[in-house]
Amino acid sequence: MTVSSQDEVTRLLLDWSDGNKAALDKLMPLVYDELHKLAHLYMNRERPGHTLQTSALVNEAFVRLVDQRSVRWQNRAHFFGIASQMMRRILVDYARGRHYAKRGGGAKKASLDEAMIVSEARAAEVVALDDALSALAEIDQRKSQIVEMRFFGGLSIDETAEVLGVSPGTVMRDWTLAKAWLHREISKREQNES
Amino acid sequence: MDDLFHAALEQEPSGRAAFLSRVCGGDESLREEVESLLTSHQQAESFIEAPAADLAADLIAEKPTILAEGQVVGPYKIVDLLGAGGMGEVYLAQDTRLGRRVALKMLPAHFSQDPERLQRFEQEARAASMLNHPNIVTVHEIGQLGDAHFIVTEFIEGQTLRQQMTSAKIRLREALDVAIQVTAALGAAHKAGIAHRDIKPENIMLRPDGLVKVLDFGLAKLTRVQSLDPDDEASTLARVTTEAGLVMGTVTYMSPEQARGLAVDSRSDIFSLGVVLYEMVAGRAPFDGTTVSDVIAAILKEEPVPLKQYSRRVPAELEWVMKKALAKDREERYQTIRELQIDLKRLAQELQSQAKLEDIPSRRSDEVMQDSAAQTDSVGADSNVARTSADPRTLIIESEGRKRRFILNWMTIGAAVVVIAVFSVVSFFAGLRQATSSRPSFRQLTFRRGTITSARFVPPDGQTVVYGAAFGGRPIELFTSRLESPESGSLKLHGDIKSISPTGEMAILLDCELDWGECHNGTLARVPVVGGTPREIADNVYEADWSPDGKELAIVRVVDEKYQLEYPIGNILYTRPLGWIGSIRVSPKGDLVAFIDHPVLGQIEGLVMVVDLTRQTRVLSETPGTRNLSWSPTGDEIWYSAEILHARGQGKLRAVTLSGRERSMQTEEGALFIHDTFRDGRALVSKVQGGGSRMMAFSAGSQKEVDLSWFNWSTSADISADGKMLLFYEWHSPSHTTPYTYLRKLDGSNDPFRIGQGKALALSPDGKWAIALQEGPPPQLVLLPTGAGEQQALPRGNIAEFYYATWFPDGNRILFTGIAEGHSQRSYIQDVSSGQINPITDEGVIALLVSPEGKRLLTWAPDGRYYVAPTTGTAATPISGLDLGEVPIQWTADGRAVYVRGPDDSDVQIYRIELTDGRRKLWKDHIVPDPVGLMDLEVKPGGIKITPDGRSYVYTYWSKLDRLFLVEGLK
Repeated sequence: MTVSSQDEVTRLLLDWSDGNKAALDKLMPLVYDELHKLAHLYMNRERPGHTLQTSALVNEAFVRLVDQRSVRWQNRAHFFGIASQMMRRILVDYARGRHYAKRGGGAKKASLDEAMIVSEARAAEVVALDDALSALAEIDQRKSQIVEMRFFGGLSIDETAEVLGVSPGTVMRDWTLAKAWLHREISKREQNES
Repeated sequence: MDDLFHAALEQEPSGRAAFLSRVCGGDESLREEVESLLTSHQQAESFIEAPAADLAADLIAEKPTILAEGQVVGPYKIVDLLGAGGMGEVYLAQDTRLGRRVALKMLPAHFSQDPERLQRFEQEARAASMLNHPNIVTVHEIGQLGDAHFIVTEFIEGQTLRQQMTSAKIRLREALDVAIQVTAALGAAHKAGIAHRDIKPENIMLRPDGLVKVLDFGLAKLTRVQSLDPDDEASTLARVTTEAGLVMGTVTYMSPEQARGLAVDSRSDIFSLGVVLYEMVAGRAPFDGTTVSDVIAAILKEEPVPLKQYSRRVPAELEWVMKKALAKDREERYQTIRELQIDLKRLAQELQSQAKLEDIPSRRSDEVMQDSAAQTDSVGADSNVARTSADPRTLIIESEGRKRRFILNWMTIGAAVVVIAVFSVVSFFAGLRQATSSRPSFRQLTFRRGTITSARFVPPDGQTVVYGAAFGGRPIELFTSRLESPESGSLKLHGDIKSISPTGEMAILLDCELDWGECHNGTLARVPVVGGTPREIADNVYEADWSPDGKELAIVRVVDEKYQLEYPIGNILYTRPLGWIGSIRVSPKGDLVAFIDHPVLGQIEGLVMVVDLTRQTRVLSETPGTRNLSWSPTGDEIWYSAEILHARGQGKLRAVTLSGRERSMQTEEGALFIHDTFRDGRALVSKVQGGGSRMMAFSAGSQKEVDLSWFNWSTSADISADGKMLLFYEWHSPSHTTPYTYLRKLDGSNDPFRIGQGKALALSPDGKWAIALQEGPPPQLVLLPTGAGEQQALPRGNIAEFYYATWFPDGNRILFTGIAEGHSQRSYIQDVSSGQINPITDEGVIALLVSPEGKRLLTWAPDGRYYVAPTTGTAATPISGLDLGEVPIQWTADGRAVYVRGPDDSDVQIYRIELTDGRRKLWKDHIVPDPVGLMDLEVKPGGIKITPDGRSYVYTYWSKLDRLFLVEGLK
């Protein structure tokens, strides 16, 4: 990450925190790219005993992307919000890609067995979760965000509470109910499909 | 609503309903909503609790390009990236030492973290590769680069079966051919005790020339979590489905036992291959679904749609084969891959002969949809045909089960961690138990150098043993020994002991052949232990055992070239046409005969089986390298020797119950052969303590013979024209079905270097190529470069079996002997550059040697005589002066005489015989340096090789040394 792009991300983040919606559109692809790149790096330097942690990934993306001297705490929270969202998008994009590939579209792309490695089932389930989460967002934005941060961003209850500016107890309560809701939603959809 | 939910959660579960009806008042919809969320909450448990970390790992790390073109990994230079994914990246690379192209696969770090798993994987991958089977991808190396492990295999041009299936239609004929070749690969692997465990179209490579290669033996071991409690279906499902990296592609081809997380054996591969074959023919997998849970449910419960629904012209026999290969209960499946292979081959032949195969393309799914339009109308394009036609009851059961399993899928990391934790605890206690129990004691009973053929306790007290042994290079003789004394006395009988009845009547084999440390093909006779004259009972007997009451005998004998098991004598219970039947033992109740069924003559791989008096057979074990067996003292197990690898001094005693439950027994190191058990728990066991196949060479100008053996099983093949290099092959151990070819200096001044796989046959006149036989199936002559270059397969023509081969002096042609389909053996000339094959002898006649000027052949005719025949095919002249049993082994440099070996195996003399007048001169009085344990002198050409100038030579002999032990406390 060059200094200039770090400056740019920091500026966009500040702009967005100040209410400039257009800044978010420019920011997202940058965060997305960085997370994507980092995920690769992580895979390659994996060592025994270390598994890929999405939270670590998000943290590192933040450190690399943002000039921390210029941002305030709230900016960090915003960043984690975007990062979790981006992680969700990255995973869901991949998962949807997988899902369609299995249905025939991308079958030819798979060159060797290894290219087919990703769990098709997990992919289907990520897609299902994504759909349910979008439905939840329409009813309760905060609960949806909490799941996004906890599951896709890998943030702890306390971290999530910090980012959202609510108490850990609230996050815990929301999380419990959101889980039950999502679980029911996904089961319902499953049943309807079959 | 939120508050209600949490308030209700705080209530005791039993009080929640009352609580809700109280607080909701009359608002039924609110109450229902909260109740359903509470139910859902209970089910959710670990749902999405673990962050999507493993998902991220799986999903994102799609193409981590670590190695760039031109980068060097050890001796390998990366040329191109062939593919990548969660199982690592595969590169095309150049082996800079050998100048050949290889495929290099980097294993991702998370697959190689567990050193034990990695080691098991390495063992299996190497073992499979060592099989040197044309249908198994050769592993050249397993290495390490930093923390990452990599596998180097032969590079295969072509595409995977998956690619083939997606890009083109597969005809029934092709489908059968692919499946048959996979059975060949699996057959060889299973024989060596290796199950693939992950047979799927991605692991099957198709070369443009039609050769099929099976990839990734052993890799499945790296990626699977072993199950612990096979009875708990739900939890094993969870484990199987939640393991990171487990793929849909793999699940589709899983056997039911695999899907349940049970231990798998070779029969699992049979199921998986069945799925692959089905998919090739139908264009879709037999058990399909959109999630892992669906597929697993289908594998466990659904019957596949008959292939007829995909193509009306699928023969009924194939349906039957599919049914048997895809049987959910592995006991009802094909029991060995060989059985499946036989059926597939028969089917292929039958179809071919009926010309049924023309124009029956296998159907792709789009055609299928048209075929079964009536069915598919009611379901979406994504639905699977299998489900629509399945029993409606299955459908209901499934949709219920499916929901549950879907949720289970989310219990990700937790489940795997629990499995590992439980496993560690169990292994810890297992270790503890082993440490505290006493080890069996071994007491040496024989001290002389030689081979122990068999040993039995003498009833009634078992304080005396009788054993057969060939000590000090002498023939087999029977000895008796009181256990309290180290001395053995000879019974003055030349034969082997097979059984002793409760009344002290011995069943012995007289005048038998010493065949690899066992006594075979003798005259069965009975004689009391206390002495007397043997009374002969039957000829051509290989094995014998008394019934428990000592009134009847079970025997194995050869009748019409077939091994048959009779009990009592005259009542055939089992026949084995192609292979042989090993050690037989009647059960203590007399109702069963246990025996070892060896499907291939000359190989020790075998199945432990029992047959009852109604001729019902049961396979109990397929452990490789199986020899002697004996009923356990309690009679509820069969103890046998398995996994015998002489060269490594390995050999395990194993036990199997009649229901097939296997375990390995607690023993010491050493290749062990169990001979007998006594009712008090003691056993007689012999331990291999030396021997093998040795090469002795004499190099011109040196003082004495040197032992050039590399490992313990080396066989000489040829000496280079300049007399400096020795070509040989090495089996590593007798249970390996395939050897490697090596070169080393004849004076022994360097370590051998391996030039390829196969049985070495001859070096080219310029020393640049070696012909080797890769035994297949199908067998194949190959040219192995002695320096840089790649192995070249010689076109096989219609030759079904190859024997030996040698070069013409011009280096452009080879002479080989083989059998073409529908013909008897004869010799052929093959042009190396064009591959053209022409017969050079009449059928039945074999050409052995090419004269130095390349114009004459030394031939053997069915009349038993040797001739010199011009290559132009004019009349052959008999060689005069040869005695019966003498074999010409080398032409002299001037082409005027031949070296001939005498007929004796243990004291070979070599003569030089002039072709003009038959005059003979003793060239060498050949004496094998150590006659003890000597089993044979290699008789094949190359077994004794002399340079044309007569100044250097090499020979190969086989020996086995073992000692007998009394073992107490064997469990």
